[in-house]
Amino acid sequence: MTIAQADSPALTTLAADPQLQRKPRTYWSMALHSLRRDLVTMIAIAFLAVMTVLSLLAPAIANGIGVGPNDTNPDNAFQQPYLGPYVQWRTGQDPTTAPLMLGKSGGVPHWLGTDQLGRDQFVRLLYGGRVSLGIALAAAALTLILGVTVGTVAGFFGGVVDDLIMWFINTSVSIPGIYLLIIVTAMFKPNPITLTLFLGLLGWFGTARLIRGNVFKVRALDFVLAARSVGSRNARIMFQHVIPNSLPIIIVNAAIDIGSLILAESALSFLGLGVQPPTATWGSMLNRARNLIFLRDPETGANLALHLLSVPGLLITATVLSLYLIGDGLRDALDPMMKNIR
Amino acid sequence: MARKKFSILAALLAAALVLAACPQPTPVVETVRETVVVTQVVTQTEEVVVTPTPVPPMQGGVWVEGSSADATILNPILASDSASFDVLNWFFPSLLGQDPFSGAIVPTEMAASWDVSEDGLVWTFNLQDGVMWSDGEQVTADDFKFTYDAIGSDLVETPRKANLDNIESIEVLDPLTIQVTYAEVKCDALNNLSLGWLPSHLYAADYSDVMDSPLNEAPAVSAGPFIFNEWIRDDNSTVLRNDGYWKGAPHMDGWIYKIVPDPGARLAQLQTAELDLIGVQPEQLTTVQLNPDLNLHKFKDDGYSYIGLNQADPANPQAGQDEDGNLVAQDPHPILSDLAVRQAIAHALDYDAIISKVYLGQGYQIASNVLPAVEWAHDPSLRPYAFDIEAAAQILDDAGWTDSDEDGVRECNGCATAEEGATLTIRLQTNAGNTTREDLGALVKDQLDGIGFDIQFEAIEFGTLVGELLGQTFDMVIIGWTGLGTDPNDDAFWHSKFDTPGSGFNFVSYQNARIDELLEQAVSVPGCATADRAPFYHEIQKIIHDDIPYVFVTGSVGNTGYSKKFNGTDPGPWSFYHNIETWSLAQ
Repeated sequence: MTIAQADSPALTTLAADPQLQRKPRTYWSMALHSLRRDLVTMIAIAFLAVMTVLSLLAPAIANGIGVGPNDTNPDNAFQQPYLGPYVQWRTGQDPTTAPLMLGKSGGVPHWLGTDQLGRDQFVRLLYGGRVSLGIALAAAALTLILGVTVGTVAGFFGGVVDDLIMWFINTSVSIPGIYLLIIVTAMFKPNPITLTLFLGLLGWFGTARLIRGNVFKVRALDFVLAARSVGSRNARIMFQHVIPNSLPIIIVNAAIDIGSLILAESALSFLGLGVQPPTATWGSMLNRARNLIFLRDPETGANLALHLLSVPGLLITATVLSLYLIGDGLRDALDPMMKNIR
Repeated sequence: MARKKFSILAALLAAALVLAACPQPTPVVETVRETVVVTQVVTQTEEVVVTPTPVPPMQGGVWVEGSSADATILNPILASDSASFDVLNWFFPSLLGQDPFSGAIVPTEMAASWDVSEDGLVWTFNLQDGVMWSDGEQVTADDFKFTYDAIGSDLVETPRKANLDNIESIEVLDPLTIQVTYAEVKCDALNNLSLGWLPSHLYAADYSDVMDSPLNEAPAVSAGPFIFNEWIRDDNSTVLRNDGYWKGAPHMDGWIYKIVPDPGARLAQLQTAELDLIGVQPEQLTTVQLNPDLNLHKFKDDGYSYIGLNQADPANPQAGQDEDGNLVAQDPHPILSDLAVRQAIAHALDYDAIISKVYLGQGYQIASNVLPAVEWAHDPSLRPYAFDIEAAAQILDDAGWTDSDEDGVRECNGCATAEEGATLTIRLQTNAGNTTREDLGALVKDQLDGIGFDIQFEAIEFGTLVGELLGQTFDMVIIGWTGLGTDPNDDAFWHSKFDTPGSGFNFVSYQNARIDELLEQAVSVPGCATADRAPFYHEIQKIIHDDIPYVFVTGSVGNTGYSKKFNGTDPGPWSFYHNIETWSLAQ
């Protein structure tokens, strides 16, 4: 106060500084602000949002195109993607190919071509997205709930509780996950719900460990001690202080988890242990196309099925990459230490 | 800034949605521009230059066969895998030959001729004289008796014990005459006598060393076209020309069995002439066909794929016969016991599309249960069911399966077998992981749903599927038979005594007293001449075709790619190498 009185013009100047005039910002608004500046993450989020919305709208889009995901048309198997010829037709470069392809498919535009039974790949990818993304999201939610609960309890109480939980987790983790999944899916018939349960129930160990480590750190901080000293109960401390302080880790972990779960689902489908045909998933579509790589037209020698391999493959790659990028971007955005606010 | 990004997002979404509804060109159906190839038969007079001394065939050369699996043991009575037989077949003589094209039993091996007693129970085989083991001993009836007695010995553990079923005695009348006495006439049992003969002079007379003789790894003597040279496990086996082979020594120096586990690597090695023969995968066919240095031998294999239709109520599986062999009436399947439904299914499938798209062209439509590879028993006059959706729908309409509530699924309105109002809902199962069958299932579901069925398709784990099959708790199943062999007897699939829930192969619960009778008669013809047995099989095929316990989808096709290095190759469906001693290097 004395300083202000001694040098009040300086204080006035300081008060007028626009940098200091802005509203005080919360942690979350700062995170959002820094996220908005991160173009790569925003593109990844946009891609994922588009994929999600398209998958959700799959029935409407299929209706618009006029073909269902399991409608076969063997006479029109292995049709190449219609997108290219269509663009050429619109631009007038090639006025014949697109109408011929439409004629062959009975007026249905197969934007991404057809598979070995003449089913529309675009529509199947959308329906497959519902299953693949749905399983991954639901399993990730399950993973989070289990992981956060168990991790928080272990980290917060420590001692025997922690020992027991960590013993269980370490034992479970030492069994190779993919083999465990293969055994479980061999015993029970895989459908989207059981697969979600398997992936969720077998996937939370890593999350729990991560949360436990963080809870250990938070538990020792002064505000927890303060809360305890004013008589807060354990549950209140956990929900008010410990979990909110683990949220950044939880969110980042969730994004990366979803990516891994999509890969796990694809890997299982690729091994023939995932959701069973004719239900489309990205992994099972890729798996079926694998056998067809070498398939060539006997007359022209042209590869027939490359679009069946490349499109689902690229889609899985792009989706998982997006999720990893989002995880990475969120970590940067949510970490106060890495903040670089200008 | 944020608004801009969200608008980009919105625009992307909009673009994607608009894709579904943007203006389309008018579809043009391509007119068929097939060129009609007119073939004219031109009789060519070939000028034959008669040279006083014919050019002797080129000697030498080696033939290399590529295989995915290696042999396990080189003893004809202990081996049970096809790779072992690929190698050991070169060494050991056998009693009965097999026509490489028809599969019929022919006197081209050790038995030069045979006589059958009036009642068909006593077979007397007269052996080829002058056939020598490569160490100079003669091949005689004693080798045959030793081999079959060894199979029967308690000291020998072999999967071939069943080959002795029904044989009462084997007697050596003289070194070149064998008499086999059967307990009852069973024509398909004749194949049980085709095992290779062991050289009895190299084994202990009490069979004590049959199991662990060094000869099982390195057969020292041979009576076939080649003599064993070397076997490097999981790498290769080599055999060399037997100059004393009784049909004439081969012109080539030797034959190598090379193990190349990866199918892609096998194809690559065939192209570079490191291998001379491989089994070709369907997706590799074009590569082989387009290669001018390679031949493709496409043959009808001894297997087929089918959709099995359960005739009995899956809720109550029953055995087809009681203990005294009398037929037991089965609770009929509520839907599939209706012949009209089975006919409709048979007519509703687009077999051409299935074979060309699902089986990638590797198949052919079959009409009934005996394959054309068994030429003498196959009835070529039977026509497979034609793809005809209108006919299928008409059959269902006439049989009282109509869609009265117009929900796309037919209901029973006066049908023969189901309750009034029951929907035409049937489960269809196959084994998961078999992509061909999964594709077929998806296609069958779509095609049958198109005429008013409600097919519940699922691909399940193979063990579970077999459990449902043998337990007879399934409705419809996509599955196949392989390795049916050269004899057309398939009573295990149709005879009511094999309708035993839990184990029998007549899991579709097919019951037909006439078929039971025919199957028994066909294998008990005295003398077992193919001409006498054929009429029975023709009638069996006709009945099975009309009754449709199976919807026959496609016969299996095998593909062999091989080099043009040798002249004289003449592969048949049952044997590729049957005339190998006449092959000679192409000049």
